[in-house]
Amino acid sequence: MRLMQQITYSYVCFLLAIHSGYAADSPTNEQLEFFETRIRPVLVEQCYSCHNSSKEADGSLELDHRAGLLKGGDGGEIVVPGNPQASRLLAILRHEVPGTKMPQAGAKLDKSVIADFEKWIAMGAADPRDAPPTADEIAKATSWETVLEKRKQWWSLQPVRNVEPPVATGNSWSDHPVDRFILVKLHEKDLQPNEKADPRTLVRRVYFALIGLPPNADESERWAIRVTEPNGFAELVDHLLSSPHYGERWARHWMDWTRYADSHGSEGDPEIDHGWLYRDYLIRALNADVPYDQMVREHIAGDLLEHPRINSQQGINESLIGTAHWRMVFHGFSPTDALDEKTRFIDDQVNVFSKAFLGLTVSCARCHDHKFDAIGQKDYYALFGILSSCRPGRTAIDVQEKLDMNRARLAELKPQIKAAIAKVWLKSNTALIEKLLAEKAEPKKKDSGKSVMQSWSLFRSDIDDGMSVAEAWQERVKEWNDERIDRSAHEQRDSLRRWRFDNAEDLSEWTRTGSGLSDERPAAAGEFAIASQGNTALVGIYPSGVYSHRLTAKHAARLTSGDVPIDGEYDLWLCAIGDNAASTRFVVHDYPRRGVVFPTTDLKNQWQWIKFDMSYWSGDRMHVELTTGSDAPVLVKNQSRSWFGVREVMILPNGESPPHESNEMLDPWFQVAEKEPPKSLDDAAHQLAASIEAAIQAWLANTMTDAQAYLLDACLKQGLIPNELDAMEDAKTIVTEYRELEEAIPVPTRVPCLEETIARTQSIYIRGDHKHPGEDVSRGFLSAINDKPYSTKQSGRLELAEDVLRADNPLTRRVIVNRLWHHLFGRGIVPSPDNFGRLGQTPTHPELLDHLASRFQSQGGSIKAMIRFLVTSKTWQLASHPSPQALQVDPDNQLLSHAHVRRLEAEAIRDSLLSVSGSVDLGMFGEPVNGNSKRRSVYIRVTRNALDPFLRAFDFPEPFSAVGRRDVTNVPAQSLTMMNDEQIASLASAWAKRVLQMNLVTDEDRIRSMFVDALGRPALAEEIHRAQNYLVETASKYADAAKQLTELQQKIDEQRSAIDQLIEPMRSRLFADSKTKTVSMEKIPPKPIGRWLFGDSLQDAMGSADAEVKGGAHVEDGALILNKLGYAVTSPLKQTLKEKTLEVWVQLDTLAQKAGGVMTIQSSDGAAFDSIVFAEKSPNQWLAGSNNFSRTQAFDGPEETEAANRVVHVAIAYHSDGQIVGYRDGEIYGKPYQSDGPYEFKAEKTVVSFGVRHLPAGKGRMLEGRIIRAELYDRALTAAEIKASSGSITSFVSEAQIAAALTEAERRRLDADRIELAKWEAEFKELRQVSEPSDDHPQWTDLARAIFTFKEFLFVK
Amino acid sequence: MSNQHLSFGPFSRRSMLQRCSTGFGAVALAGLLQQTASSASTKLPVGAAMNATHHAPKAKHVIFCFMSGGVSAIDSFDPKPLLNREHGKPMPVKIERTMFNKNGQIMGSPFEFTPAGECGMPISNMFPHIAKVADELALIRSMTSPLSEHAQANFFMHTGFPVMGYPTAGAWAAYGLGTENRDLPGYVVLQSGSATAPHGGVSLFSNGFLPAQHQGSIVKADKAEAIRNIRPHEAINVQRQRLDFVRQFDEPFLQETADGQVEAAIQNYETAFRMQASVPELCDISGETHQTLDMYGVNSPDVEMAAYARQCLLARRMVERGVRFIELSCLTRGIGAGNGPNPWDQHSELHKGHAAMALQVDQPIGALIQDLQARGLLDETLIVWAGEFGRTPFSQGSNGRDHNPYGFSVWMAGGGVNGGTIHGATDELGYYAVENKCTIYDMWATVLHQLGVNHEELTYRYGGRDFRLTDVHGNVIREILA
Repeated sequence: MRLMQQITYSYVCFLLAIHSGYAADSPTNEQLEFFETRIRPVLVEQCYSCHNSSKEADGSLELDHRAGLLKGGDGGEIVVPGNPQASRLLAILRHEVPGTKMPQAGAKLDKSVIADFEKWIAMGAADPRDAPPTADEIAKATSWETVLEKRKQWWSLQPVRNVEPPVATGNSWSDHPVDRFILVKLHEKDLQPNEKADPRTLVRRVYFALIGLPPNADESERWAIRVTEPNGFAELVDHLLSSPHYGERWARHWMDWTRYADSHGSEGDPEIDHGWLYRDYLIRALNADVPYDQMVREHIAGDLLEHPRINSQQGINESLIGTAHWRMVFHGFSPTDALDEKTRFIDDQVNVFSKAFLGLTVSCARCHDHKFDAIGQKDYYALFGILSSCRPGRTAIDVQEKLDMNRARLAELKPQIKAAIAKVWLKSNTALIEKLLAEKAEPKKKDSGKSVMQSWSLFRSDIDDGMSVAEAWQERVKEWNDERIDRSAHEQRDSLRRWRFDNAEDLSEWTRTGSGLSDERPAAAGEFAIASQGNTALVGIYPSGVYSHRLTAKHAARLTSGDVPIDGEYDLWLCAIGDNAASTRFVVHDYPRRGVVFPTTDLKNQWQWIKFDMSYWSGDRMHVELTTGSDAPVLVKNQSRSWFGVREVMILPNGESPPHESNEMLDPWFQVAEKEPPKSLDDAAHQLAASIEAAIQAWLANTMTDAQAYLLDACLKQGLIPNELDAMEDAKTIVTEYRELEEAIPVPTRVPCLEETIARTQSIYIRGDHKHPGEDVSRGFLSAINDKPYSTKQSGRLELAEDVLRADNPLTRRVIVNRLWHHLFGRGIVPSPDNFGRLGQTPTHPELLDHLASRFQSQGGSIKAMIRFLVTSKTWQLASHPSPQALQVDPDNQLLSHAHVRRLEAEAIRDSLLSVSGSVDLGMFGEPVNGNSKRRSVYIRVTRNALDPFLRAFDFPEPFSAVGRRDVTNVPAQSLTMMNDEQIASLASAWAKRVLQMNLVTDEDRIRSMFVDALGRPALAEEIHRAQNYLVETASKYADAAKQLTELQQKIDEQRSAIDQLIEPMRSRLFADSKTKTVSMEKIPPKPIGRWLFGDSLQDAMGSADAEVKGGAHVEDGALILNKLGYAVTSPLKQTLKEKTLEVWVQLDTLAQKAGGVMTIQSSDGAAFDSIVFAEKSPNQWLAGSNNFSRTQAFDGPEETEAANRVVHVAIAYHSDGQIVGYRDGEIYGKPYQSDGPYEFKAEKTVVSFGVRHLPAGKGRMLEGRIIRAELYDRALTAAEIKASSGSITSFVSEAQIAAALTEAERRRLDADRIELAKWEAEFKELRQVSEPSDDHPQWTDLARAIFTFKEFLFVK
Repeated sequence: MSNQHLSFGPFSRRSMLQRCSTGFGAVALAGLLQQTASSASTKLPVGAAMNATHHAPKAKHVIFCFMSGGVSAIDSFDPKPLLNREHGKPMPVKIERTMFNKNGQIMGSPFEFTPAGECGMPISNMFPHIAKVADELALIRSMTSPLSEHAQANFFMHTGFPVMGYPTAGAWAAYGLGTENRDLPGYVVLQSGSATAPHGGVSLFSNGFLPAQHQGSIVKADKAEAIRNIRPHEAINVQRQRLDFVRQFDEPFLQETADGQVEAAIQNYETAFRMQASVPELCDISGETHQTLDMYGVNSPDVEMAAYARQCLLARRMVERGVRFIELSCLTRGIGAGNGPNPWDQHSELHKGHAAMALQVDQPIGALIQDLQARGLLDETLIVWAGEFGRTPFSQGSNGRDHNPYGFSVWMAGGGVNGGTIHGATDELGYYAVENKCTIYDMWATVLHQLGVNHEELTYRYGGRDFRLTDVHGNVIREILA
């Protein structure tokens, strides 16, 4: 008890003691100042918003006044004045209390700030805040404006200072500004820079850094000497910077920053058509050292620049291509919430853009103001609004002259053609009347008078049926009048929206893209299009409207409406025409893909009203799109010529009757005849002819009505007026000239890009939820840098580009020089290159960073100059081995006392393998390639759902966000790839072969050469010795294995012949017993290269192409049993085949099956194939199937009737001249025909399959039946050979039959022999698989493989 | 991209520091969780981001039976008698937008429900074998997802985000908890026969921004080359000889560079070499008894069932060997719209398709649960059974069902869940979850909880914020825990 009291007393005294300094109201001025300068600002900024006394006090903790702070919260006291140890606040700030890490959301306060708190508590926690602030004061103190002001103090938002390089005392090392900055910091830690790397290391390092390829032997020899001489290194740097491969290397870095991809991902993973032009653009721009500012400008708004950068050599607008990165977004598949999808892909754009160019994570402000950085939620939506004012689009990048090529001349020729044709037409009036009077066509009553000829025929047949002319005429007039009433009702009809494209005003509400739509005004009635080939003159004559092919269908064209809110259930109707994959759709919230609820309709070359039911999308926004095949934003169908025309678009309430189908072509005739009804048929014919003549005259005079245009078009289509060029000499001459000019126009090249439409004001989405829009936000930039809203009528991308590039934007240049530094030094001055915010890392050398940034800016943003500047520093050239002190003092090597050792990037590893093995194809640019290509890795297709497995293993990034710093991981997939990947083995073989073919005498020389090739240095004597030993040991291992194989083979042969001796006599006897003539198999000439007997295995009895069953197929009783699910496929063939014969003995389970393949030769992926197919095009017929029927025509042979009941023999011979001959049971089947084959199937890349038309296996390609035997020949057999071959086993003796005929003892012996044989065969196969040398120099290939896995090969030091 | 990524061997502190300094690991370390371990937590293996679990774990392994394409809840685990009574009548409530917009009338279930186990949980005759272990199941009938399209819903189900680029649940588990077997990946995706990655592709198994060794390794249960490039195409002695030869050059290079990455890469070849043996050993089921094989259905004449059974059996073998997270992949039967990536997707022929798919997975999964139980492993293994969404109570066309993310069933078994419980409910037609609505975040929060992880604490700093599997959401569904 006493003790307790004493303790309590002591405690109270203690409290009094520590409070006394304060309780006496006498905190010293220093203490108060400390609070005011170091503590209060942190409390206000970090704590007040959640822990205050007026609005919310999380955990009942009030930190806005002294009493609250001392009282603590639900968890008890947090500050014990004078006793930091007992103050829980410090543990919380240090993130040592699980679940209570403050400040909220993760960012730990700076160590120095926590130290301040510790000191402040130790000093007695002086706190003058007697009273809590008012709610207003809290609101003000915690308002975004206040927070923003504070956050703007962050280092990366401070102006870039032009810092002079410091002068280190006693610096005799280097004058280079970089080195001076580095040295000062090293000296601060008593460190010295390492020695310079040795010349060969330096050469290899600079090759990889600048061009991503290793120096070849000559280069490394030559430069290793040269770099030791004055200016030698600088010369090498210049040499590499001027190499075209420099652009390839650095474009790939850049592609990481903008998450380059060739497909959009998600279900379907559609291609980003021609996205690769952006990659080529980057390579060209970097090689040409286009200033960084310009490239950024082009990335943001290259399509809007007043003076774009023109590539006159290729005739393209380079600037425009830069915008393609905006389109490399991930697109979901057919979302039911299209606005959600749009919100997501714009977020993707904002995220990548802000990280790549500003080093900021703006996307973090989507749901609320940024938790750490000076980025408000309004800033996010200001940027979002810029991008939501744009739509996914595609644009032709050709220069205007190319796009406009021959435009003027074509426009001149058109009226001439018109005149020449009209002349012929006017002359053919008599013929026309005769034609009408001779017309006997049966009218289709049901359709009534839907066209001129129909109407005329009805008129005639009524008369023929006994009606008087007047009565018959009256019928027609009545019908015409009814139609006119309907038509006028249509004109008056109510609709949600309606656009008629006979007037410029309606058109002006639409966005026109492409030179096919360069006219602001719609075409007047009488517009026509000239056929690009053949004897037909005109494609059509059109009423007033918008047409993309007024001069040529090669012109690009996409027509889109403004946004329309669909505030109810509506149908969209379009009166349109078009051809060659031109299409139309309504686009919900700019979603560019197709889906069941995102329908698309291909246009037909005939006017029609197209309907889309939009009721599903009630409540959303849409726009209407008409596009040629090549100009759809995602649904691209590339066609050199494609066009569309549109007359009217309307939106009607869902389910209402369709718009009226106009038949105004009758107007000209009936208007004439109405006043003076025809008295006779002849009269009527003259009147009709006269109205047509009037229409032609009007056409000539450019005074045509829509009705007249329809009339002429109908006459043209119905053959009432001639449309054959042969029939019009004069016109033909001009049309020929027209066609030549049209033919010469290049098909425009399109890139994915953004379409500018009408700027829209974006609202904030409350908590990021697109279903909860908040206040509207003006478009603009980050308010921390420029808070002036954009007032442009365009999206604002131009303004955005200028804001990014403002001279006083502190981020842009810091970010890029840091990126360059990162790629050159292996670690950025700011180690988090995509994040210069609070959660990023701070610069190790801030002054150096600023020096570089201002230097970069003042020198015009030349990337090459900056790279040259950096790599010519001594720092960059240091050796990599760390000194003991450096390891001690600076284990992370932040101060760069030595060079970082770096593993090569995925691309550099692959490129090195190709390069060293001598296999690389250094061709530049163009369409993406597969991973098995020999091109450099930058050209490998980046398919989001199927990224290249080799590159992925070595940390190639998933394309979904800016990646300024790749992970460098170390996972077994890498080692397994290097150890076991067959591609790598074959590159090793190629390298070994190359070395052996070189003019080298001794193995020692060869080893030396390989070391220089791979490592850029000569081999040491000891290394040569080791390698020699290795060669010898390896060779002897292979020799041993070969010997074993030979022995086994011998055993197998003996065993086989023993079995044959047992069963062949029996087989012959059974053959003899059967009634059919037989020919001994062995006597059949010539020898096939592959033979599969399906005895009890799938072995190839001739070659080495053993088959393997897949799915549910199996071998049973001497046949391959196919049940429609399974099939068999061989290993790759060893030889290339062009001329060939496929031959097979097959029985079907049923004739009622379709398109199954019996035997197929094909490329490994099934993309190219020739196949014996049953019943694909016609039921029950055999067919020579091929990829997309490219070598297929019907044999037209008799329908199969027997194959379900017995084995039939089917063969197809592919002759060298392309002739394809089918055979059944030894007789020619149907008619041979000529193909443009034979297709060449390449060695090692070709397989044979049984039971599937082609790979990959799938529904509709599979066979139901059994294959008894199959043979493959490397030549086209003659009819006689096939006949001979077919006879061999028309009577089939199965293994089971033979077995049944043997005695019990024989059978037992046979079984035992077979078991033995199977064992040896398996052993042989296994041994061959692992031990058979892949080439004739296996020990050299092995050495090559070994060197490929040297860490020295995979790392740069 | 189907790769196998393991952690590397142990290193000196020096090499560790150096590795960090050169990019790799720098982020990993920044994200290390340095919480003080409470007494109930369990120490974790080297390489785990967490030193110890946050609390005592109930499970050490997760087997994720992903029913890609979307199983109909109202035909399997959530009986709705009203559906059959109202069959053919219009839906009484507004129909939400569907993928195919071919919405028909209410469609009764062609399956029959009977109470199963002592708990009496009604399970339809689609799943007779799973019904036998009903007392082990903790059923959630009120799961929801915000997405009704396969790829995005799959991403969401796996990563908590509807797009590619984020770490998948298996990667999070492997990252946080490490792996107990250095010769096998910590996160495995099993495939067999025609099974392929669901819509969204192999990115569904991605490590996202987590270190790459946590990426899902695709193991082909029935292929000689179970893991890409796992099979040497040469004699093992030749390969060993080469590795030893290479080592003679790598050692001096390591001396010269004194670099941790180089050291790790050298180790890595040894790990890979060992994997060449350990992976085939794992996949070799010749030592399993006939009884076991028959119980799983490995020799079933139904090709798909046999293939799926093999995955289930390998899953058990992996659990025995310490693999942290195993995902199983269904095979397609090509019925309805159910293709390789979405086998359960019966937009038509629901009865036929679901019956065939259920036949494929029912016996193997039932056997897996029983086998784990018999071996005393069920307690430490959490089985999660879920599709990316359910299917509509009204028909699509005549006999299919469209996607329904508004209310569907998932269940868990083993790993400390309270078997025989039913949590949450949908409305009378099984259209919307109406009682104790759950989210996929909740599901993963619960899974992590059972693994001894507080889902809010397992975070990784990337691109300006701390990410976690449950984004900023998720509540542990305590009602289903024992």
